[in-house]
Amino acid sequence: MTSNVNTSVQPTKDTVPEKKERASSVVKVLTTDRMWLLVVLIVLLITATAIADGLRLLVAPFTVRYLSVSLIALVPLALLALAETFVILSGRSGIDLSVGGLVSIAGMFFGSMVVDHGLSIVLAAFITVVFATLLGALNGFLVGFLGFPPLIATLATGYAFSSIALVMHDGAPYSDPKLTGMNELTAGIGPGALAIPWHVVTVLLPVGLLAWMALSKMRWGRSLYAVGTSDSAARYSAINQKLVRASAYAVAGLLAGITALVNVAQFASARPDAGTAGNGLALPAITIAVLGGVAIAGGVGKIGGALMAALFVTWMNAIILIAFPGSFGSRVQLLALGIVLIGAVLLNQAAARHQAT
Amino acid sequence: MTHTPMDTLTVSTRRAIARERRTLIEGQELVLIGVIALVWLALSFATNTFWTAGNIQTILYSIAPIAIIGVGMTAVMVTAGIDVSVGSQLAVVTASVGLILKELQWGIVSTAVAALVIGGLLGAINALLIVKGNIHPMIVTFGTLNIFRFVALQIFGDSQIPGVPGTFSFIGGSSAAVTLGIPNAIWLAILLVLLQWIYMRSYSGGRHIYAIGNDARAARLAGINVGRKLFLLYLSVGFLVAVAALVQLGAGGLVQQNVGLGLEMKVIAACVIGGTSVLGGRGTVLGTLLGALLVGTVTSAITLLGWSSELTNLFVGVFIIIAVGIDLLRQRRRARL
Amino acid sequence: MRKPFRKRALIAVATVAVIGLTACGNSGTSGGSPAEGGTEGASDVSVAFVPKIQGIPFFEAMNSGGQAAAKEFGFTWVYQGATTADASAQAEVARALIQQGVSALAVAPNDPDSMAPVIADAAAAGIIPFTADTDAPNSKREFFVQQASNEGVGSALIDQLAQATGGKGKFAIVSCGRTAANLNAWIDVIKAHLSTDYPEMTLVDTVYADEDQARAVSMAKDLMNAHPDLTGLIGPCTTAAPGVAQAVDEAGKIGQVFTVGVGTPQAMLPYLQSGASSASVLWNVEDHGYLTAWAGWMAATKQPFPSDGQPFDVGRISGVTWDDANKVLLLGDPLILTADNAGDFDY
Repeated sequence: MTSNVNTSVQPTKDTVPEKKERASSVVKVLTTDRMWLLVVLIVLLITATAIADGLRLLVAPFTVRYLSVSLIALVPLALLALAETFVILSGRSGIDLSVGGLVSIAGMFFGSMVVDHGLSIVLAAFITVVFATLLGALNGFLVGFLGFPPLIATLATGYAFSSIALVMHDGAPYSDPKLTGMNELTAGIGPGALAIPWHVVTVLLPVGLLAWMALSKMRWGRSLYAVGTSDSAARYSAINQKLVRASAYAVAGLLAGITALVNVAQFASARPDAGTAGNGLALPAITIAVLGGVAIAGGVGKIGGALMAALFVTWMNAIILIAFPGSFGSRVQLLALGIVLIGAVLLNQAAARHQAT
Repeated sequence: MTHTPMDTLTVSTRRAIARERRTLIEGQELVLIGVIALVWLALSFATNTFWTAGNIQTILYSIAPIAIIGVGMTAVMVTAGIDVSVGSQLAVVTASVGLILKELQWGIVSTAVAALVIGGLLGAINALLIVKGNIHPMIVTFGTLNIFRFVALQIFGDSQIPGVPGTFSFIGGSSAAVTLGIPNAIWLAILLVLLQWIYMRSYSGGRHIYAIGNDARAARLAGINVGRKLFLLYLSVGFLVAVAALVQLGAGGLVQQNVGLGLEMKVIAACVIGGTSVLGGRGTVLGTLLGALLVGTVTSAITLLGWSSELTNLFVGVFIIIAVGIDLLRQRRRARL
Repeated sequence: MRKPFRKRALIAVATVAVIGLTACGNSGTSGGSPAEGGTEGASDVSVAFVPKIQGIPFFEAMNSGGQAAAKEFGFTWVYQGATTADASAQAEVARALIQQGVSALAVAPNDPDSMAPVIADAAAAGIIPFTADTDAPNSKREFFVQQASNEGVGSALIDQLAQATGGKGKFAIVSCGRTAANLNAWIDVIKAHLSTDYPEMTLVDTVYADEDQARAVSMAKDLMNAHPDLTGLIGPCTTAAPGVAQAVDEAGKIGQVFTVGVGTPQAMLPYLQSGASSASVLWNVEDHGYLTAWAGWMAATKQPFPSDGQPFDVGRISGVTWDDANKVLLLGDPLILTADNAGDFDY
């Protein structure tokens, strides 16, 4: 693919065929790189909603402020989508179904540290993230070293985590002025109309940046891609594929731990069912990761894609709620997510076929 | 789709399959029978209520829908595919059948046909997207999981369906719906398991399922119509979901919107505990049935022992690790031989 | 050579994004006032209600009660619920309603503490936030519209069961969510009454089936198997109430094991008629919705509730009380549904 672009678009400037080529390669980038497709979809979504707003078709006014306030739902979704991106990348049907249970147990662990043991928020947060990373490493050990299928190992540990989270404080949530105070972290910053939730800037952006660096700029990232693409190839290039694969699950645990802290801040309490209530957090996170373009078979996927997918779904859900009144709106969210997920793949495939001919 | 690297593992699994065909009951099934027997033995000492007809019937009935869907899911997973939309499929079928029974008062045959048509339709949608659309089954079924749930909620409208007649109570959970002390629902499940087991074991069409899972490209080159086979398998999941919906509806009563929520994970868990590989090429329906039985036994045992019901999932998780762990040890030892 | 094209694509996309955002920013500021203008006139007050989850008869009946009140008193009633019963989905819906600029926002929190931040957001936006069905006492909610006191529901449940079983024997509870505050409060009342009023009754186990009806049925059967001498089952939520009754029916133990629960009339009617359920403890759910809507309208139009402590009438309902100290508006006593009166309700 890359070589195609190189050969076809080198020489002169501004000749007619060159323009054509340019246009087609823009189209090509948009249709083959999932991140750019999602960026375009986000722009289309916002433009369409703005037009609908202008025509008074919406239930509520569509404002920049609404978009930024909605970002509060983005943070946990995006963090867990990143977690899933890492494990799916690691190959051999990589998946982590335990992130929901992990968020619950890590949140309760944090609540217990702060409320029962009187630790400071910062220290407790640090210990919680270490704890969550260890639980993730347990998944990694089962999958990477013992050879458990990821689906079943994480299903089992997820069951165990969610169960322990329920019994460790008798099913009751931890709520305490100290925990409630953490809600400040999710307050809006910036001028009134913008009001971007504080933790989007302080948590999500740095984590996203670090994740991108780890994957694109560090040796570990290259090893992960190698292991995800082919075990044997990775083995011949002297990569400890067991350790690399296990580490992906530990990183997912770390991200789930951060998500647990964000959840406590966002909901001003540590809940034993934080990651499992309703549909749970795992399935939406996997859906977002897949929408972000990570290949189920492993070895292909990018941080930007996952982040854009999370942003798109967050805004789409928020917009649907002000576009369709009543309970129908919430149902349309399901329909839209399903169609977008399948539609995005069909679009990319059609593009690939078009390219091939 | 399945670019399984031609490394040593694939070869060893192939050899393993060739060897497994010779024995009637495979390793993982024996392991599960052993684990289940141990749990049952422990329970018969720890409680004096385990071996009552009522208890055994409750456990068996509770696993029937999982085992029935597992019949299709196992085959799908052997091809290295998956169907995570079964819970939402079940919701669509149950909601439609509930309305048909309540509002139209159809009889057994016409309702069953309607259920199969609806289930088949849903299965066909998945099959079409996977085979014709050439999209990974997990992506397709994650998509249709949401879409089918939307459809189900639209059928429900803003209400539940109360007072559904017990037209299918003969395969329901009632203590009257038993033959020879075993619930009719589980007889039905056993029949379906047996048919699929024989098909996948002894018919060339069934062996093709394994061939596709081991190497889809090689299977295609060997003259197997891979697309058609996959289409039929995903279609069959839809039909089986319809049967499971009728079993779960059974004696009728109230149908709620959240019906089938989380069912996909229970079915997939039963398959994997039973020795089905998520990477394809390995698995039997008998193992799936036993996997479902293990989970059902553990779940029920917690209440029977009077332990805190919040612990159920912890024990289910631990037993999954034990069962699958033994399977892994066995495979590793055999690979070394 | 690929990179420059990406960059150009980025610039193009960014430009469109800016245009899009500016467009919506403009329409946002201009769109805000006409939206308010549109509802001006006869009814410029709107009261919104976010249930725990959409589609269950319990909340849909509250919705129809709310609609009736809106028609009677002349305001707009908005009802919007998520498809799953979790705090984040609920907060999403509440944020959309805040954006809609309703005058008063009622929430039935899935998790009381979790809704506090959203309730605070509503208050900051000049909306009157309050709770109904489940309280969030540690939040900025202005008041709570309670269906029946915890004491009332809990004691009615154990009284009804005692009446069926003759005040003795073993019984068990099949509850829904382990973390549901309402249900836990009722269970505590049941336990308290046990020691004082029914010394011959023993609670053998309390299990949690979440909102899964099939699981409630099989757990109830497990309990009957584990305790062959069990005579009673309590299902204190709308999933477990029909669940325990169905379990008794399927086990063929009608007349042997008695069940009571908190179930909606139409769902319970078949079981009440067959005897699988002895009674369902509820309240007039439509009236509860009616009262919720009325209370929101009163607060939005700055009319105080009668504060002399005496029961008063609200439109079609009577016997409402206002507890000014705790800010609780109470609908009244629970309603006991039996085979005779359950058919009178259409939800």
